[in-house]
Amino acid sequence: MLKGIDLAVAQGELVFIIGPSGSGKSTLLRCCNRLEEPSSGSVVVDGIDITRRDVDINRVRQKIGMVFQSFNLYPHMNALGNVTLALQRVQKKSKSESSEIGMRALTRVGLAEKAKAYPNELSGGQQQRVAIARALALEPRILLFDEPTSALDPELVGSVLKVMRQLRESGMTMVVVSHEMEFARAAADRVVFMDHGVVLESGKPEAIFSRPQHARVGEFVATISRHP
Amino acid sequence: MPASASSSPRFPGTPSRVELQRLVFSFFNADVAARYWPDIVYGMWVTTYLGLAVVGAGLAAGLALAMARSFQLKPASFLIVVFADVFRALPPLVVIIVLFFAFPYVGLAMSAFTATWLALSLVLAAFAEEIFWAGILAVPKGQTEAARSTGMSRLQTLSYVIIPQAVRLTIPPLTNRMIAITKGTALGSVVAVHEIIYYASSGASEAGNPTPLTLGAAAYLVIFLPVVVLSRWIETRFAWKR
Repeated sequence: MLKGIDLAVAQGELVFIIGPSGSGKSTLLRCCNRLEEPSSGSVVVDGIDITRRDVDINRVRQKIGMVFQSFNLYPHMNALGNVTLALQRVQKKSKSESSEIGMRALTRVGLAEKAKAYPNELSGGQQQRVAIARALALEPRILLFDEPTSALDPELVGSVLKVMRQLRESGMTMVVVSHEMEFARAAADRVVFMDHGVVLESGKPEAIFSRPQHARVGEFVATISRHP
Repeated sequence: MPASASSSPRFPGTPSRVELQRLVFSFFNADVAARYWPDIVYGMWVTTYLGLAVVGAGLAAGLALAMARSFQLKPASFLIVVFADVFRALPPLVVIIVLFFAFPYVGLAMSAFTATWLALSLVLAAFAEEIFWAGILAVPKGQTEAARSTGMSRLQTLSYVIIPQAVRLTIPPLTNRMIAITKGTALGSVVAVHEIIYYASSGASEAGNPTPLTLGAAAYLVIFLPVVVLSRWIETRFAWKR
């Protein structure tokens, strides 16, 4: 549960959210596209308060991409099918236009040659990159990552982080819940530490990792660094 | 050895020549078969037609109910559960009899064919709803979340993401239920639907010989063996892989 979170993410910013399990990181992320309904307060994305009653949430969600820990690819569709489903069904784009956009998205994650492969034929890293392409295809204003590498074998993590780094360089606004400290150090603009539903500390990565204000943050960072 | 074991020694239960002749005369009587096979063939057509109509309506209604239930509106879900439980509990024969004999009293007369079709469709819908519902529940929650996060509505998520996966999971129990309910068309003979059993039993009593029943049994094999084999093929074809 969250208690009075006040967090602003600027355009083009990469914000990392860390914290012990049960601290509300994922809940916070899921409130950003209302997969979780906040009981009070507001969430403003691209100038629109998405918690308002009269908001068309399905319209808003197209502008908020989300990538999940367990990929959640549709197992009955190939990679291109996964990427183009919402283009065709939600945005009502033609099959050829959807395919074109879908192939561009798959190319961005380096998987154009796997367009016809089904999820069960792809490695975990490839599946996660297809999931990123699925979100990218809708040209979102912001991408939310919910522990994108936690379910991956260590040797596959790099390929996903590489794609995320490229997205960062292309100016994508991203909020990432993850324990990839090295990545956070190298790529994040800001690291937010959450505990018990509140933001305990927030700042530049080197500040959080090297000179934390709270002992709790220092302990956590030390533990994670020892056992990533 | 006592002389009672007269001529050829037999195992108990092994038919004698005379007994075999009686069996053939009663159940495999060529003359009777020649007289009644056209009726049985006509009955096969009615059984097939009725069965297909029941499967089509029952599965469509069952799927629609399961989809409606997944919207989780309390009163609607409650009514659907009540419907499914009542029609899974009632013997199909009772439903046929009520529809055919009782409904005319409230001004709802229907033909025997319609009553049988409606009764069996309702029963199949009840079972199919439960099977589809179990299939929908078996699809991981992350699938819904992923679809909704791309802006798909509940109905779109259900139609393009959940149902295609749920249907694969439900094919084995569904095919069994479909075979069971289509054999239930035989119950239509009670209200004189002109299907296989109707012609087989009326033929048997008219001829004073049960050969038409043998023809009826053969007719069911001709219709249902391919269905059973086909269902086996479909089950392997759609076997779940992840």
